[in-house]
Formats: sequence, structure tokens, C-alpha cells
Amino acid sequence: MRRIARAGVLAGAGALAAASLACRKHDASPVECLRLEGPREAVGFGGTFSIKATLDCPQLAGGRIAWRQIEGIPLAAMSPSSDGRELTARLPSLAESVGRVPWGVVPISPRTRGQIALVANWTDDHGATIAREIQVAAADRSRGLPNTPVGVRLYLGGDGWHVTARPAGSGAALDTTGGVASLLPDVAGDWRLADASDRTLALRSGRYDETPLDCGRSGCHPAITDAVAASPMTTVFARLMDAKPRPAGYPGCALACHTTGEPGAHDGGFPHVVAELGAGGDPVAGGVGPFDGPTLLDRRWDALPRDLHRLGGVGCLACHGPGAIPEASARWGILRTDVCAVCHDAPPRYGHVVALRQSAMSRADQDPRARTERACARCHTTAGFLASVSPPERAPVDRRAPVDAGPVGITCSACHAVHDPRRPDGTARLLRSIPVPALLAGAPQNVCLPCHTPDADDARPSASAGAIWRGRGGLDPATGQPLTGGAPHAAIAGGCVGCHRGGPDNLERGSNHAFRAPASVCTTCHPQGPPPSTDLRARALGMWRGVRTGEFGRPAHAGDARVDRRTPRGRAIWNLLLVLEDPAAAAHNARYAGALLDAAEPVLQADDTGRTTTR
Amino acid sequence: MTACRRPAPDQAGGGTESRDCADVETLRVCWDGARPRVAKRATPAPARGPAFTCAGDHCEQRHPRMPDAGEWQCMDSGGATICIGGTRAAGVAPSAADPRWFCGARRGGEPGTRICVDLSPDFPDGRARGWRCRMVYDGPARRACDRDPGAHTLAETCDARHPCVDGSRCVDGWCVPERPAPACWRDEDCAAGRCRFGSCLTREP
Repeated sequence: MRRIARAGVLAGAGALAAASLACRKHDASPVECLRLEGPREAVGFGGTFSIKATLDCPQLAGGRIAWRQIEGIPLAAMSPSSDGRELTARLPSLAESVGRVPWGVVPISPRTRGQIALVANWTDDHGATIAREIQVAAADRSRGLPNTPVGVRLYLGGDGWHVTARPAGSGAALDTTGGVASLLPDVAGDWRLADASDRTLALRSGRYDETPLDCGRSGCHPAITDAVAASPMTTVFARLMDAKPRPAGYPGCALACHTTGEPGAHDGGFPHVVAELGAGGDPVAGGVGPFDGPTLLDRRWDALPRDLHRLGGVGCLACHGPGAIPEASARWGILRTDVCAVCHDAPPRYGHVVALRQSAMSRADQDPRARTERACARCHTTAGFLASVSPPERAPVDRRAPVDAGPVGITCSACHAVHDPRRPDGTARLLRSIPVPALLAGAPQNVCLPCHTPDADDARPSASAGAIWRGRGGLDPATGQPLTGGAPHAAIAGGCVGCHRGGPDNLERGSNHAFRAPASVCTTCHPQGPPPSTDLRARALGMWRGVRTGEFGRPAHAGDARVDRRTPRGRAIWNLLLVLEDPAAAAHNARYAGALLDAAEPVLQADDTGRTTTR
Repeated sequence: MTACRRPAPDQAGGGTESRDCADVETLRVCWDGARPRVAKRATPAPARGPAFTCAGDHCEQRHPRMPDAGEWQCMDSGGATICIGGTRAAGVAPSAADPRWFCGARRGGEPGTRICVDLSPDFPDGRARGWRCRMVYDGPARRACDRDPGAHTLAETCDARHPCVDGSRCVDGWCVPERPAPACWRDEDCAAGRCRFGSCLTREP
């Protein structure tokens, strides 16, 4: 006999278990005889917890229990009792869980919440075995935004934190267990905190169900409200509640990400309001006229109470948080990947963030210059990119990250627009709608192209993959006329991501957000492998050495070369740089890249003592 | 002004009731003729919203019912609940409006502002009589009810010596309202200067 069942020990109220914030595959044969009792709430980073194992079936007795960790950072001080019926261990620290701890409210995802999973394996002398799984977590999730739910503990990066102002009626105090400051807002209102150097942090706490949803009032965000109405995120919960048949077990573990609010927390979120309405098992002391709550989550969407309609789905507050829009100086935080990570960073099932962090885009602003220089920020920062593509009437507030925030990278919201007024019908992937660069006029819209296509006004070509792919951008050195070529990969469905869809193979969903293009994607059309091509890059680098002294270091677009396209030599160098700016030119369009070099080479060779058109 | 409410479903059974009917506290009232009529006397309806939490003579209901998922501000008057607002809730999936509410556009208000009326709101014991309720918005929005034997409401018994609350009339011995045509929040919204239960009254009492 060997069975494994999962036990959600963070369950505050029956089906609203907080233990698993991401749906996972479940063993279909729960074994009730082995009961595991652990902490019912998050225990804190570095916190010690205990689990008690009990055999509930009379036919089972004796034996011993062995514990094995199957998920999460390895536990320290794991100490089972002699018969294994009790286990004590310590959860990882904040730094161990999160990695680099940023200043201010620390974003926490399902992956970084210090969650661990253990299997208790009971055996007796007759060879009988029962295995059961239990999960424990250090913290609730956090978007890292300064507007934060009541009833959900937030952690603070930095030192010397103290509260300088708090809402009336609050009795909450900063906790510094383990050297990490945390705060559990207990009432709605404004907080002001200061660190050791008196740098202040303004927080606004509130309940989700008390936050107005009047974002669409005239003068505010009516277009966004229209756009979001049909968003699949808005409707996901309604659609699945009404699905025929409803997915097995739904909503169950999906509440954490298909509704607004943190399961197990008293934050006025969907799970909490379900409990308040009486369906979650919370007693309503002194109540008369009991609500028919036990069947609440069995109802169809239309039959749910009004307040659950407002919280059912991934609505405004699911990303923007409750309370109020943060102060202008703090609005940059909404662009961080951490906001989406509260649901999309739950590997191995939801691996979007894990995959994205492996891509070069996630490190696009690692060089401080890329964050601070306007020309660089346009494509090296999310704020810069969004500012460049926003129509003037929607010019957003300045959402550049503060200098000391460190790299933020190109984040989800650069490519995905969850409420794009220009695309009111939305798309399945909520991709941002952006005009095609002028150089590629006629090409299908593609969110990648604006930052992977040189601009006609550029002093030197910038990231040119889009241009090479489409066979555009080159100049005839002699005449200055456009040098165009074929685009053999232009017909690939999906555009760039038709090939750039690879990533870690241990993720169930979202692996494609690493945007790798493994050789395997070529085999659909090239079963024998990609056509052989000369080493274009080596050739281009060799030509570059003839133009410039030294190696091709950082991308030319970040250098100081000025290309005078009024001269044949300048146009030849432009062509050469187009190829060099695309490290994968041979894969994107080998024939066109080769043609650019063919056109440039004789000019550069003939003119190697002539005018210097780069400096 | 025509109210935007669909006729309430026939809940009386038997096929004898007009479809333009509504619950008024424990009564079933129809407006299919020149005047309202009481179609059926019901037993106290079970609470349709969340339970009340009571301490002594004071009860409160969290998450009170409202016309739909939009933004509303509500008040109680004579055993009915009247709400103003209706701004669409942003980022919320469409859902059917609660058919128990009568709704209409507010006269002279901001475009899009609506008025809705529920003639049978929730009470701690299912009866309007003996309770004075209000919506409370400081802290969590909630419906608060206090016992008040002197409170007068719709669906009370009436006769020559026991007049009905303003805005209702005595029909078959019961105080019942005219068919709601919600359009007003204040008296100033009505040409005749009388707004009762969210509807403009044309006649003097």
C-alpha cells in the first residue's frame, strides 16, 4: 500500500486553503488516515514551525514516520521526534527566499514566499505505507507596491525602520524578528515609515472590498475601463464558474489567482468575503437569518452576491492593489515584473517569471547608463519604452524607477497591455498594440519590432534583428537607395515568438518567456537542420576591424560611431553595422545579411585610406 | 418615466398573478390595474443577503445587497432601500442585475446616474416593521438596523385612523406604494417637489 495525498495546512477555512497558491496536479487518492497538522498561517521568514502527524484510522497503529522535503529551499534545523510524529524545522530567511532584497516593500511571489513542501511517510512493521504531503510558507504574497491590503504582512527591505505615522485606531507594530522588519496593517489608512537614514516610505492600507471601483468615471480612465471589460483576466472567474462542465475542483486552488485577495488573509478579498458571507466556515456570531453560504461557490456566476462579483476575477485591484493609487513617486513599481509574479511566478506550473528572468531582456537595464540616458531608456527600460509608444493624450506619469532601485529590466507590461484602449477587444495574450516601425511598413504588427528595428533617424543602427528578418534597412552604397531582400522567415506564424519560444524545460507553462530560439524550432521547415551558411558574423567582425581599430565590444549602437550615410563609405558601414547589431543575423536572414556585407565590402576595401566616416 | 425593471417573475404560482408584481416586505403587490393591489400575503421571506450580526437592539449586515456590481450609495426610507449611482465597476465581469430592484435614470442628475429601489430589503428578522435601518459608510459599508417600535414602513396595516407612510396608499388594509418609477433622490429632482421611494409623486398627499 503506497498512497500520497496533499494536505493544505495553511487552510484558514476549508476549501479556501492558502497552502497552494498555484494549482498543481493532485493525487486522486487522498489518504485520510494520516492527518498532518501544521501552521494555519504564514510563519514568517526564518520562522520555526511544527507539524504534528496523527494516525486517525483504528486499524493503523505504531510504525514510524519519516519526513522528506520535496520542495523549496532546504530546511534548516529539521528535527523530527523519535517516532516522527512531530517535526520541527525553520523556514528560510528573507534573503534566502527572495535573493536581492530591495528597499521598501519587498515583492513576494509564490516562488519566493519561502514555501516548502514535506512528505510524511508512515511505515509499519508489516510493510504498510502511507505518504502525505504538507506545505508551509513563510509569507503571503506581495506586489511590492506601497498600497497594500489590510491583514497581509508586508516585509521591508532596508534598515532601521520605524513608524512615524499610522492610521487612527491602529495597534500594529513593526516586527523585527530575524532582523527583518515587517508590518501587519490592521486598519485601513495612511502610514508613514522611515528607515535609519530617515528616508520615508508612505503606505496606504485598505481592504479590497472597501475600495471603490469607479476607475471609469469620466475624467479618469473610461477608455481603460472599456478596454478591460472584455479582458480574459477580468472574465476568467466568471467564465470558469459557468463552464459546462466546470473544471474539476474549480474554483478551489484557483481562487488565489482567478479572484482578488489573498487566501487565508483578512483582507476583504474574495476568499475572505466568502468566509464573511458564511460559506467558508467562519461563524457569524449572533446572526439571524443565516445566509445560504455553504453552497456559495457552487453557484453560477450570476447568482453570486454583488460583492463577490466585484472581487471575482483579476480586476483592477488584483494588480494595482487596494486602497488608492500610490503617490506619483511610487508608481514606477506597477511596472515591475513582481506585480505579475504574484501569480505567474509559481514554478513548475507557472514559470513565466522564471523564464523571463533568464532572458537578456530581464537584464536590459543592468548598465546604469541604459537606465538614465533617454535614448537608451527607450528600449532598455519598461518605463522608457511605454513613454515612447504612448500616444500624447495618454502620456503617463513619470514611471522611471529611482536610481537606487537597481535594474528592473524589460518587464511584462512592456509587451503585454492588460487594458490597452487601442485594442478594446483584447487578444488572447494581451499583447500590446504598437505601430509598426516606419522601416518595416507593411509588416504585421509585432510588439518586438519597435526595439529591434533601427530608426531612420539613428546616428548608427540599433538592434537590427527585425530589419534583417524582414530584409529591410540596408542602403545601396553607391546610390543610397534602399537595399531590400527577401524575408524567408516572415511567414512564420507568430512572428518573432514563432521561433523565440524556447526556455527551461522544467516548467509547465510560460517557459517560452525565456525567448530562446533553440535549433529545434528550425526542424519544422528544415528537417535536416538549417541550411549551411558561411560564418556571417566572423566575416562582419573581420570587416569591422578594417574600419575600426580593435574588437567589436559592446553593441555599436551604444558606442560613439557616427555613420555618415551621405557617403558610399558611410552607407557601407551602415550595412555592416546592421549585420553586427543582430547577433543572429545568419538565422534571421542569412541571404540578406550576406548581401549587405557583399555590398559593403568592396566599398570599405577600396576606401580604406579615404575619409574616416566613423570616429 | 418608464422604469428599466423587467416585470418580476411570477413567484406566486398558480398563474393568477400579474407579472408586474413585486415583494413589498411580506406582501406581494401587483400594479396591473389603475391602482396597486395586494396579490398575496406572504410569510416572512428568508433573508436573501448575508446574515445580520446583532448586539441587543442593534443589528448590522456586512456586504448588503445592492442593485448590481457598480458603485452605489444607498439609504433606507419607510422600509424600502433607495440607491443612487450605478457607475459601472471597473474590471468586473458582466453579471445580471438583481431583478428585485426597480431602476431608472435620475432626473436632472449627471448623465448615467441611476436610481434604484428595493421594496423588500433585508431585515434582521425578515420584517420591516419595528426596525429603522440605514446604510453606514464609515469603515466597512454595512446596513445597520435598530429596533424602533415607532418606525413606520410600507406593508403596515392601515385604516382611517392609521394612515400610511408618505408615498404609499392604503389598499385592502395594507400600505403599498405606487408602481415605482425611480427617477429622484431628493424632492428637488421632481417637478412637483415630492420624491418618495425614489419616484416622483405627482399628486399631493
